[in-house]
Parts: sequence; C-alpha cells; structure tokens
Amino acid sequence: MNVPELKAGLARLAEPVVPAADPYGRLLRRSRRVRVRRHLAVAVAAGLAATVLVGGVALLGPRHGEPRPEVAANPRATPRLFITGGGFSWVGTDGRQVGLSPTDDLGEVLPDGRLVTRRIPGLPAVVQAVTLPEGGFVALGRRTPTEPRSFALPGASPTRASASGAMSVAVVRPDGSVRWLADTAASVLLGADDRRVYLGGAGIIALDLATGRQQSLVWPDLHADAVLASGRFAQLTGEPPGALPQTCVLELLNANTGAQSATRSLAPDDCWRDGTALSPDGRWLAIAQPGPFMGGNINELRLILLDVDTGEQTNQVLDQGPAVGNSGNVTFQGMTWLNDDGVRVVWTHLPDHVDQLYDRSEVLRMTTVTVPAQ
Amino acid sequence: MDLPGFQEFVEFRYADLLRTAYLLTGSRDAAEDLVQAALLTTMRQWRTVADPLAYVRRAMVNKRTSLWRRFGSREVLTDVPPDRSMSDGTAGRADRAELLAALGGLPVRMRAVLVLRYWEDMSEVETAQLLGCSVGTVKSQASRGLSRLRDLLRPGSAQRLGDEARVGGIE
Repeated sequence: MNVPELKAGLARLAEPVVPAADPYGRLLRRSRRVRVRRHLAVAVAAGLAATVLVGGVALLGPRHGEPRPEVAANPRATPRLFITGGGFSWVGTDGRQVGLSPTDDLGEVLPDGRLVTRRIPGLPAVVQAVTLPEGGFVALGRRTPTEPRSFALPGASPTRASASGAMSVAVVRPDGSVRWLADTAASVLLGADDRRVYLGGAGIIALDLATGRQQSLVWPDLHADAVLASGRFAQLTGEPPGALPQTCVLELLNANTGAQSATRSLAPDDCWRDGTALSPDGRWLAIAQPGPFMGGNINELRLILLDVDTGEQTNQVLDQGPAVGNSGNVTFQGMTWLNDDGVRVVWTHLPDHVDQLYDRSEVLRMTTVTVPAQ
Repeated sequence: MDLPGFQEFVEFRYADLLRTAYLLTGSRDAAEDLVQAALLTTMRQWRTVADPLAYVRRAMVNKRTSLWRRFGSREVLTDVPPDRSMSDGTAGRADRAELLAALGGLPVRMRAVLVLRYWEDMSEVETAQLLGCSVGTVKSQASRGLSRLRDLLRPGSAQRLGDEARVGGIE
C-alpha cells in the first residue's frame, strides 16, 4: 500500500459516515445529561457519606445509563436552493441598458427568503450548483469570470459560459471550504447521491465524492437534463428533437445502471426540460412551465407536479405579468424540494415598466407548493 | 449559553470531525462519542481557544488514546466482526472492511498519525504539534504505519489480520 492508495482507502472508509441531523442540539442535550449525571453523582456521594456516617446501609441498586439516542440511518441535510446567472437586458427607451443584471455569482435563497452570495475559492463564475446529502454542495463553473452574454451589450460574446472556457467542478463542504476542484469535460450537473456527482454534456461523467476522480459512464439512455433522487433519474424527452415537441415522454432510469426502467406519456406542453426537480422520495416530478410553447402568455410561470408512478398531476399558475414582451418579465430561477411534500420555487418578476438594471435580490419572488393531499 | 460562533463551528465542522473520529476509532458509535466528548471539552474552553479545529482534533486524539489505555485491552471498537470479510461480489465493502480491520491492527498513535497525515492532509509539522511529539517521530510512525498496513493487507494475511483486529491496537 502506498500513500495515494491509503488516501483513497481512507476516503472510501469515511464516505458513508454521515452525521445525524442537528449536531448542535444533540451536543447540548449530551451536555445537559453530563451535567445532570455529575450533579446526581455528587448528590449520591453525599447521600452515601451521610448514610455511612449515621451507620445506615445504602440500598441503592445499580443505575442504568440513559439509552443512547438513536442515530438516523442515513440522515439528509435540508436541500439548499441555489440560483445562478439568469440575467438578461435590453436597451430601454432612454438608450440605457435595462432588465435583470447578469451575474456570475452563486446565489443561495435561504429559508427565510433572503438571497445570499456564496463564494467558492478558485471558481468565480458558477453556472450551476446542487446540494450534497451531507449539507455541502457541488458547483459547476469556470475559473475565470464570464464575458458578458447579452446580445444587446456592445462587444458581448454570444457564446454560452460553458462554451467560452474550460469548465471546472468544485465539491464544497458545508463550511464553504473546497474539498475538490478539478477541470471537467462536462457542462451540466445532473445531481448527486451519497457516493457520486453525475455530470453531463460530454456523455455522462461520474465524480467520486470520496476520491475526486471523474469517470465516464456509458449510459446512452441518460440525457444531460435528467434529475436525480432516491436512486433514480427522471428526464423528459420531447419529439421531434430540436423542434416544438409533438409528443413528450417521461423516462425513469436506474441510478446504478443508467438503464431505463419506466416511461410515461405527457402532454407536449409539459415538456419543459430546463426546470425539473424530483422529490427526495423519487415520487413527484416538479416541472417549471413558463406557459404553453405557443400562443400563451410569455410572462407566466406555472408549476406542474406529476406523480411519476400514477401520472396524476396538478398544474397551477405561480405568477403572471402582462402578456407583452419587455414588460413585467417573469423568469424561473430555480427550485428545490424541501421534503417529500413540498417544493420551493424562486423566480424573478420585473416591474411592468422597466427603467433600470435590477439585481436578482430586488425582484426575486418565492413560494412553496405542496403535493396534493393523499 | 452564549458562546459566539460555537454553534456555527459545530454545524460546519461536525461531519468532517465525525469522519476523522470514525477513522480513529473504527466505529460509528465510538466516533460519535469521541466527537461529542471533544466538542464538550472545547465548549468549556471556547473563549480561550485560538484555533478551535486544532483544539478539537487534539482533544479527539488524546481522548482516543486515553480511552484505549483504559479499555483497549478489553474493548474492541469495530464495525466489522472479528472474522475478516470475504469477497462476495461487493468488492468495495469488503475492501473497506479489510482496511478498517488493518487500521485496527495498528497502535493507536500510529493510526492517529496516518489519519492526520493522509486523511486530514496535515503536514508533518502540524501533525507533530497536534500529537505533541517530534517531526521525526511523525515521519517514522507514518512510514512504519504504511509498511505495517502493507504487510497486513498482503494476500495471505487474513488470519493475522483477524487476530490483530481481535486484540485491538497495542502501543
């Protein structure tokens, strides 16, 4: 055994060790127990001493320790809601740029609705991020800041961030420190489980969380826009490719093999593949739908909740602006399932009259949608 | 209780500390005990501790060592049964069990040196400071530890590995 083998071995050993939820609360409870035991021991000692002094006999049986608190089998950190990029601008009536400021920053929407920026050392331009089971996250981006992408800006590059430079993937611990940072051929994050991060865009790549190694997987059925939860991928496939979908199929794939396990036909208008999220139990697929493909309000955001096993679905309007371009734009930014029953969605809604460049935090909206009662 | 930053420290570092403790002890329950005991010690000294992470690590290693001195000869903390796992197709799991058993066969301080050096990625100087020994000791312990692991994991050492795991580390 040499040093790299030992390092990899230690990483493999430590990989399945996940702490139970609320470590601080557990620590405080233990602290209280220790204190109580100490006081009890002092009291018992004093009592025994008193008993001996008066010639009595202590009739105290053995004290059993308190039962160990149950350790959750595989506790999960609360999913974190990250948003990236999403800016767009145009020339306003007075000749100035107006709209939503483009940004390279990785934003995290906290449970109370505040938007905070997460900095990743060595990765200033983040294009996508997903939560890891232990509470950290994995981010995909570039090591150099992005050139402006708006077509309206003079000298702007029309190329996507992923195409304008080598991509890197960072595995970030819950405290914000970087565990792994490496270049990657991938341009999309599909998701992560306890062991691996799945990336797409150049075939499917699996990043081993224990060793940081990337490995290509020959999984031809799995697309780059799939989402992962509970041991299965879900993806929407619209036909014909590259055109307005005439048919839409939901495909479920095994996360260990990449093999297709089930399919379900959906309405063509449900085939929005840019905003999907699978509930932690793998049962519900949330689809963010910016209105019908043709003939609808372009400033609308709907959310479809689809029971992937039964096909039951709900479709509700989350927000609407005027059905006019460059006015009251409603733009989906991201979503995450908080638990098996509720998904949190965030989007931006520009004012009807847009006269400046807005930061995301100024126009961000958020709601939590629960699954239908059973 | 008003300990500024302590809660954040616990929440941010707990998972990493737990993994280190697991590598030091070889048991999830023992790891949980070790981390919590070290954190409670740290909590009492929180206001005076300059580098909390180093302090907790040192507390973990010291507690592990003193626990072994008290119970090491009659208590073996391991997630695997004394008999060595045989490969049944779940190769990764068997590998892990094998390495865990091999680590269990190392003296407790030698195991700490390997974990700190090669899991925590600490330098020889940092490891020596944390363990309160010389850099030379760290170098020799790391080298001997690797050599011993190599020996324990060599094919044909199954019976020896089982025996080593059964008696626990001997310093």
